[in-house]
Amino acid sequence: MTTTTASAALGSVTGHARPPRLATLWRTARRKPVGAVAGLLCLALVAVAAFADVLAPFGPAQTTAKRLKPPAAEHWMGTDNLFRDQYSRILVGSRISLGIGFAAVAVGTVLGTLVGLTSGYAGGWADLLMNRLMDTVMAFPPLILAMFALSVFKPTWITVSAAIGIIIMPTTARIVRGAVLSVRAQQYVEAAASVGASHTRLMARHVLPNVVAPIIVIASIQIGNAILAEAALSFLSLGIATAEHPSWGKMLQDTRQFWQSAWWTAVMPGAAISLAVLSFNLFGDALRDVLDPRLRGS
Amino acid sequence: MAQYVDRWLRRGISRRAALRGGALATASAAFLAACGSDDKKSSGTTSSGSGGGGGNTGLLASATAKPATTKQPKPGGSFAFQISAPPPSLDPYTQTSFLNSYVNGLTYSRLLRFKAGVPEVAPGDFSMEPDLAQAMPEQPDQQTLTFKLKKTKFHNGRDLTSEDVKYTIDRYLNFDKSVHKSLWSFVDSLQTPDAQTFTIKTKYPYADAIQQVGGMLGAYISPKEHAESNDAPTKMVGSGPFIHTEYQTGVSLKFKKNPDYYDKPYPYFDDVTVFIVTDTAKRVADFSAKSVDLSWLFLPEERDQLKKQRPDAKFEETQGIGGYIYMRADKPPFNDKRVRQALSMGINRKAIRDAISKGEGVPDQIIFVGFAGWARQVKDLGAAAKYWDHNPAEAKKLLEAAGSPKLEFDWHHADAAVYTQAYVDTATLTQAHWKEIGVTANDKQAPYAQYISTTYQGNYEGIGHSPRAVFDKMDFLSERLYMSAAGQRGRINLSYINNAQLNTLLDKQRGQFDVEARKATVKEIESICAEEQYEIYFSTDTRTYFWDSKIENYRPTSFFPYTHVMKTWRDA
Repeated sequence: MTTTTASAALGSVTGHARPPRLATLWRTARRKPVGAVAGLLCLALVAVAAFADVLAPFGPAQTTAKRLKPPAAEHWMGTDNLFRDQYSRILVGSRISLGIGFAAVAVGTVLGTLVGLTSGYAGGWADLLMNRLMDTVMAFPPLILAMFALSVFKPTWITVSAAIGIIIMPTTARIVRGAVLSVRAQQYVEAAASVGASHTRLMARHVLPNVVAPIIVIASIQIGNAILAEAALSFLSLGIATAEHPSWGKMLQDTRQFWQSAWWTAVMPGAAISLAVLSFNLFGDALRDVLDPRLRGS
Repeated sequence: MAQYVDRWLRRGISRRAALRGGALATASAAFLAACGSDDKKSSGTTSSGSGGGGGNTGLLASATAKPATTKQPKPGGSFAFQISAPPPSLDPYTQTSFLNSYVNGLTYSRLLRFKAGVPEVAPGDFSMEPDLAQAMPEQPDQQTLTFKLKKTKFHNGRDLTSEDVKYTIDRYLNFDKSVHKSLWSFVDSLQTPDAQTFTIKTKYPYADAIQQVGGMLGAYISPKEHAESNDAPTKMVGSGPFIHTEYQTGVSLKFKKNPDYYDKPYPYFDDVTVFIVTDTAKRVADFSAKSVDLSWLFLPEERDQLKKQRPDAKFEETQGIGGYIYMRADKPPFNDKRVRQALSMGINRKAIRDAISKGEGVPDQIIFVGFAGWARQVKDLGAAAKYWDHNPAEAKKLLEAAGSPKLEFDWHHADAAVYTQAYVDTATLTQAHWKEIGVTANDKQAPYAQYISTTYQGNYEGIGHSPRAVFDKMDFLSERLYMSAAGQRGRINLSYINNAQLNTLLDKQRGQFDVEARKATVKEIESICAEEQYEIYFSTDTRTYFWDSKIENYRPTSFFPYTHVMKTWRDA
């Protein structure tokens, strides 16, 4: 039995109909306007990444007639030192920045959930061992750890996502472990165990579904961190960006020589990174407020 | 230069040898007139048109030899400078890297060495002075060079004899991993009449033998016991001015003064540290913070930044040779010269100069256009000059005529760490320009060590992209363009050029001691290369060297070995 199942059953018994989802969403948005705006911005960023080719007026590597031109009607965000339209590059650059961000969070969340779930459920020496392992990973400065990994393995979509995923994994693992410790002590878990459910079944069917909320919250917050980490790695030339496939961090790296004389080469990609990180962080915060029963209504 | 010729003549050398001296003198004087500038000047005028157009030469203002310092040398102290990447290996036999040569030149001796590196010699003057040799060689005929050696010891304490010189050249020629075999292919036999006498007999009259003996690569003399040891890639044991003491891979190399150095009073500094700094911004920051005494190869943007940050520092601008693209001209599609010509016409060189060099520089060609007297400006190359013009419409027509309206291939090059961001930006811009003519070049960057041991050895498909070094002898042309009857490429014939007419002309110029006759031959080579576009050249640029105001008797050199640091001191 899960809480979801229990709630559904309770609903049918009491005869209360579930309110329409759109209405619930609207109520939540009105209660959390900042989170709602952030959520919309996140959706917009994803849409931009998906349709960048259509939206971008120029190719990301296409040269124009103007070099280091400030923002104007023809080039909204100016041009860079290699005659390229920055607006187009920022649009296309969202693919790597968001793509790596999502992929890294997926890696970190899956691994962190597995570790946290196993650690919290098993307890004993397994818990101790996994906790110390996570402590060890967290003891390294995150960026240095990712840089080390990418110095050993050639940067690709997989290696960069994995490197960032690994540095965000311990946080997820700790949060999941904490939630599992709480859920494991619930009576419905004991009840399931008493009727002979295996450990795997208990973890998969009774514990995991009840720690999904914190996992979603931490994942949404971690996306911002992953985007920031990708930008940092790209800035250090450890990313996967090329002229045809730019990323925001690499755009900053490519133009850093011109920041003093051409402010827009620093501000525009920097603003894109800030906007994305801020949006996902605020959205994650709002999500936490909504999903965490203790914070509901706060 | 005149003294150099006079000394030869006084020593009773042959008429032909004197002619060769004259040739070198003329060449060097011509180069002096083309390279460098004075400390106050930052001319760097922009070419008035793309490609070969424009009446302005766009080259740096003429340099003359400056007065020699009159200050009294002050021995002692430390000196630190930077290089832009770690040498792939310190072994002089297996490496063609300029980074190797920089540091090899501090530790290893050569028979002769460049005079450049002091105020009275222009950076690009490739004239030589005795190093391990007591004097310039005796040349009883065109095919014999006899050197009398100074008495000295290797840094391991063993006496250096003519047998060691013989061993070294023999190893450059015959060691299976040697990358300098073609440089010494003119050698017929090596003789050691006694411990201090060494004779080279050449297979044919070779006009550049002296330049090779003291050249940038494949000329460093090392003891057999070290050359064949496992330490050779990470340690240097020579007989030069500085003893190599420490190598922290990827971080720094340290040297101390060789107290038994044969050329007293050199070296002046007690120790030298070479920092490996791959990030240009850090090189700028380190020099600005006075952490190092010397830093170099700064392009105009960084130059202007450093001028503001270190107004006290001395600096000199030198004419940088244009980088180039090479391609597998032995295979389709590059075996069709129309494809090569189209690729050249697809490049907007002016836009690239504007982007990476503040517009400074002019289009370059096979013979560095800064080498006045020998090289023609691109606009003077006749009908072939049009291939340097940015003309996408004509480029498309050529590609269609060649049956390759759409092309896709890989573009191999090193990453920005070693050759600066400007080098990578050149690739990025060219790839963008080529898109406009239907050519897709897939960018393949590699770390320097990988690139230098694969692409730069000719192990690539598609095209490669490299910077070029200012040459130290006219026969560098053979290295780039020659293919022997047996199919042996010149050391950096990276386009796999095999042109019978070129091979004949290269053979001819090699033995021409008469400067005007050799110039005429070189001009023919130049014309063929312009028409064939086996290699596609970008533009010259301005490279600036900065050094601390207290450092005396220093001047940049266009050549790799940093042997001349031994003549420098700190006027503290």
